[in-house]
Amino acid sequence: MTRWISAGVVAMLLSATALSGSSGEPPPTLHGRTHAAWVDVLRPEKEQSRWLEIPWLSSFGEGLQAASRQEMPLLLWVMNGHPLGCT
Amino acid sequence: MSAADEVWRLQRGDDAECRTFQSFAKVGHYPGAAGTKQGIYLVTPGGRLLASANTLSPAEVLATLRSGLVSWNELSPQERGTDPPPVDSRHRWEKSRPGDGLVLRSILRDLGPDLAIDPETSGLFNLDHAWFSSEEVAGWLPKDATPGTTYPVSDLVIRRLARFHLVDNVLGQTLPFADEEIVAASLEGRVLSREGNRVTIALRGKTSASADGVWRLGDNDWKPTQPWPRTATTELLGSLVVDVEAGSIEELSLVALLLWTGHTRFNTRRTESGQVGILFERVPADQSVAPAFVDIYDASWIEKP
Repeated sequence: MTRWISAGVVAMLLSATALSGSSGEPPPTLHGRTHAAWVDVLRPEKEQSRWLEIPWLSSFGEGLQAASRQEMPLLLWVMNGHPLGCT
Repeated sequence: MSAADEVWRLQRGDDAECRTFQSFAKVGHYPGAAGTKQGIYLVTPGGRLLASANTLSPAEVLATLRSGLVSWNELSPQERGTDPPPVDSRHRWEKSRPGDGLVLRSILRDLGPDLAIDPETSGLFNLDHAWFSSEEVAGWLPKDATPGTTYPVSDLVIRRLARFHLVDNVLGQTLPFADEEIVAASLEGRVLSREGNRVTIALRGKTSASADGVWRLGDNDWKPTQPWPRTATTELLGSLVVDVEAGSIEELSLVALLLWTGHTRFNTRRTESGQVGILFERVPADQSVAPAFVDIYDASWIEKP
């Protein structure tokens, strides 16, 4: 989703510029890797997270009501643990 | 239209939303009233099942979607139904979203010995959300925003992260730690710069948790049927931008390197130790589903059923 991607861009900029500090000292590292580098490693590749770009509503009830308003079928995905959270 | 939801409640509950789900799930890919109903379902607004499946195969998902759309196209407008059946829910955790607080989304991934993404599970990651109320946000903020100042982030904040979010659930749900199982937990902020009310802070911390397998979190759905001894040790590095006048967090990004030992029933581990990378990023509250352990979260402001 756009907001998901925007949050990531902000995080990268934040870590790249902020952690140098006002004195210009080198940014702190964790096992030799800066925060920005860690973010780059941990963020899933685009092809791995495309499913997050689908505008999922976060409850069955909301989905059915929205489908009714739009006169469309509803795709409902359910798991043990919410699919948009920890499964 | 697309929606996602948690199935444990839907398949067992008795409010209108659950009963409506059960009415079509029992004639789907796992027929009958009992057993798991995990999967995908295509339904009409009137609650009529078009197609369903539970599969990891993209091809089968696509086939299910196509089959459902064929069925949809064959229905008359009356058969499709425009009035949804009752979907009132008696309780939803999302109603307690801390709209004026802080929500962090976490991404958890396996790391190899070289701290790169583990090629064995490179495509796999799990998510979770951490919630903090507007009052609890104060625990992240410095009292003195003078550049160079260091301060401890509150025990509430770091211990919540250590108990519920610095855990090994990359490959499946795991168990949290009881408060008494937190051996150590600290997170320090260092004020780097200030421009007006906007203050930039570096974060550094570490935690250690150890469970001997005795369950200390009461009778609930998480209570295991056997002991699962395990440990979790982390190092943390991050950054924070706050508005000290408003007392609010504008941006937050935190990375944790977690070393785990032991495993639990559902977290799908085949070895007894490993490394996980965790990325926490602030997201708007309305994007958030409830934390995995919301029903035993240490937050009295979250409304329980």
